Amino acid sequence: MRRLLALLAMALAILAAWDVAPARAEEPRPLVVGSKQFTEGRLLSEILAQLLEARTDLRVVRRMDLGGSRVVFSALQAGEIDLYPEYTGTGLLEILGAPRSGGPEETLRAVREGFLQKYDLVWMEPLGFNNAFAMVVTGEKARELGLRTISDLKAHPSLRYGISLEFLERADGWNPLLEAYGFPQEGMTVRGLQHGLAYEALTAGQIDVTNAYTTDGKLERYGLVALEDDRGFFPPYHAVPVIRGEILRAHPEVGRTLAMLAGSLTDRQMQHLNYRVEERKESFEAVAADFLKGRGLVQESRPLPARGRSGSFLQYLAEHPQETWALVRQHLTLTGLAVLLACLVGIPLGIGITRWTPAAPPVLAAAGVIQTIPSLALLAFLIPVPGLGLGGRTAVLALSLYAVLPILRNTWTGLRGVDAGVLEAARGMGMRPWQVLTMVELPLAVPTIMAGLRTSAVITVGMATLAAFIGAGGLGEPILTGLYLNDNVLILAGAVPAALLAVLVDLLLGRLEGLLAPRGQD
Amino acid sequence: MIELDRVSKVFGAPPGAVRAVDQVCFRVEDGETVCLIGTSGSGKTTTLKMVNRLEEPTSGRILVDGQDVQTQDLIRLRRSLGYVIQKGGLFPHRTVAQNIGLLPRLEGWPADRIRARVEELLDLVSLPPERFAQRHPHELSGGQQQRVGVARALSLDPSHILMDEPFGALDPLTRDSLQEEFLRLKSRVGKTILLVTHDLDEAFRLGDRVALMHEGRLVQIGTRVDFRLRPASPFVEEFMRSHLDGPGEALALDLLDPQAQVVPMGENPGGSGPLLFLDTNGLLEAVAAEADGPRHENPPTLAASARRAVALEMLLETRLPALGVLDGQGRLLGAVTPTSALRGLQKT
Repeated sequence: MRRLLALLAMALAILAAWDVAPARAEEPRPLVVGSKQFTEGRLLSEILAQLLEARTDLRVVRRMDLGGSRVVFSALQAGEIDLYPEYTGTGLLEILGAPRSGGPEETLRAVREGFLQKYDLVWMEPLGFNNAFAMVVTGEKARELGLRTISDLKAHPSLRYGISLEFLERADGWNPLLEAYGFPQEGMTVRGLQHGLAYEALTAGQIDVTNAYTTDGKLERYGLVALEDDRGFFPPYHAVPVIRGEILRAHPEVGRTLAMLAGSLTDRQMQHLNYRVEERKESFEAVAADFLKGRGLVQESRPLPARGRSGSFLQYLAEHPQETWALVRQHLTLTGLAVLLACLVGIPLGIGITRWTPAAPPVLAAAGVIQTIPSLALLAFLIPVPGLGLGGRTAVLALSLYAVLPILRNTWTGLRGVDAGVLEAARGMGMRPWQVLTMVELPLAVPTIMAGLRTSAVITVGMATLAAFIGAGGLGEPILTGLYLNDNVLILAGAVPAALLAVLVDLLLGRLEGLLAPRGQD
Repeated sequence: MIELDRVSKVFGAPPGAVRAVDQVCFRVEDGETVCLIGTSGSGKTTTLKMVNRLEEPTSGRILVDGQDVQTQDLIRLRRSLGYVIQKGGLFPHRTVAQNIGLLPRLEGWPADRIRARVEELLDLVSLPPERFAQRHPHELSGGQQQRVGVARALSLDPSHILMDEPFGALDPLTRDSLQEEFLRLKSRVGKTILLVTHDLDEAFRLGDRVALMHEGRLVQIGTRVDFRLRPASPFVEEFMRSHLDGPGEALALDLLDPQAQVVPMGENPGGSGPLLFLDTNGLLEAVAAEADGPRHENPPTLAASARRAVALEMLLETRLPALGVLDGQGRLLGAVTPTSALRGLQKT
């Protein structure tokens, strides 16, 4: 028992000392560039970041790969990031929740007014290209069925649709599209999937139609055809840097710098830049630097690592030992802190509900309900909370919320499983209530509590890969990047170490359980 | 001394309230062992648990050495009352020595004094310390666990001990030897003991007196002789019969022949049963099969606690028509006859 307490105390001290969001407190405040979690978003952010680094004296921090619009926008609103590139259509329909308002000019005007009034956020000059949504099919299928427009799809009810999860949910997405084109209400085969996987599914013939972006570098590579939006359903999606008004007022040079990029990219040029990252495996940094230099916006280019690679993920791991080790450490820290926090909440709470049993059913039910909240939704809820924001703190808190249930439940079960006769003897012979708890009940419940802790830790090791969505690092980073770059080597370089970690953690905790368990139990 | 004064315990609230213990009064004198017995649900365990306040009485007072338990500090009260439960209730994660030494440790005794006390107690309950002190409870037999339970209850040398079915979960042989040991221990330590059991044999064997409870009420308290010869109610009579009148269990006390008559020397009563004649001092002088039959002078007698087998053997050997049965004080309680000695053995 004392060993368990000492262990908890030690871990608590680490938690107190560890600042999970080091970027927040520094002076002078750096400029934080965020990005969504897909190739173009990240590439544009990298371009913005490099330009700002070259043209201003501000220190620039990158918080890339922050997930979908919701997460990045929450971060911008909370001041966790200062700017990121957003699309006019997304801003209008998805974030403002406003109705469509005509062509590109009207749309831009609408988001500018709306964002300024509601959030003090400024839409700068558009970068030029329009990355609209498109419905795409393989060239083969298009020729075979004579598909040219989206309306043509209606004539072929047997087509199978694989629609990205974000598009399924968007206010300017799937269901309104079906309505606008008058697709039949039922009988369509539709699957939700990760956008990065859709092309593989398409070329493998598992689906026939998916949604894509007009500037997507993969269209060319996979020989895909974008169907004409013959009813003008898709709103314009012009990419524009969105920045906090506060920053523009404090640093006017930021505004002047960003204006240099106005109208600098066409659809085809953007598609080509995407293609270079995704298919030619050049690094974001290199492509961005190359672009800026080509436009004469940046004079000298920094030496950059090449990203092109081949071979297995084992080779990748062998070639990047420091990076991998850093990710593993980050991953373990996130997991360890989350499980620790879950123990600090779950064990006392579990003890509490055995002392006052009417509270047990609601508390256990609440812990169960938390488990059912989708993890990305939970993260999005937590980001705007003051003191949390993007990064480690939010990730640790979210992970610990999921980790609490097995620990709580097993504490409760373990304590209730202590033999009634033993308890009666302890009380009847004159032990004080806390002596009964610490000298009899808890030691006897240790094996059950430890089993809960093991379950919880293993789950958390897996869950912690999601921390990458909000920029908290860990082994989720290569998985996430790999997913949108369609790069299996990267996915494995994150997934395999994460799986190994889970096994290792389970083994280690098993050993610890052996050390802590009371002797003399059958 | 433990004294219960009109103690009642009601569980639940009306209309579903259950009166588990109802106006119970009795005393356990210093150095006395009283066994509480009754059917399950009779309130005997609740009564015991109210003494160390594992249950609080609804009304009435319980005094230990003249002090109301309600006015005492709960922890001090419990440590002054040794407590032994069924199967011992040992802490499975602690060694025998740690189990016994726990209360002394909580009381802040120095380590060497605790060690000495543990060894002393293990010796007392016949478990050699060098073999048993470092074992865990699961390495002990049921009987050994119960001995450790008793040793643990004695660790602070309390003058009172409460025992809740201490031998209830043991096999008959182990129970028998532990009861034997209990009697030996009792005479050595001189504690005031209140013991709950559902086994009437055990109650009469271990208790100086037995308190019989039924449906929350104390029906009768007394010795075996009291229960047999002066049952307080038909229920007691029936209870004694159903619990004791089996083959092998009956004692001379249980086999008295109601037909036998005790008469002073010289008188000649009517009737047909065997006769026991007393001398002028009230002592048994002779027995006869009938008023006119031959008289057998200075007949041998039986102790009330003699087993049936002993009574039968003596009847066969002496060929007497009746054997006088004497209680512990030498008073004549009645007679066992060849007919009554066989009672309960034939199927009727």
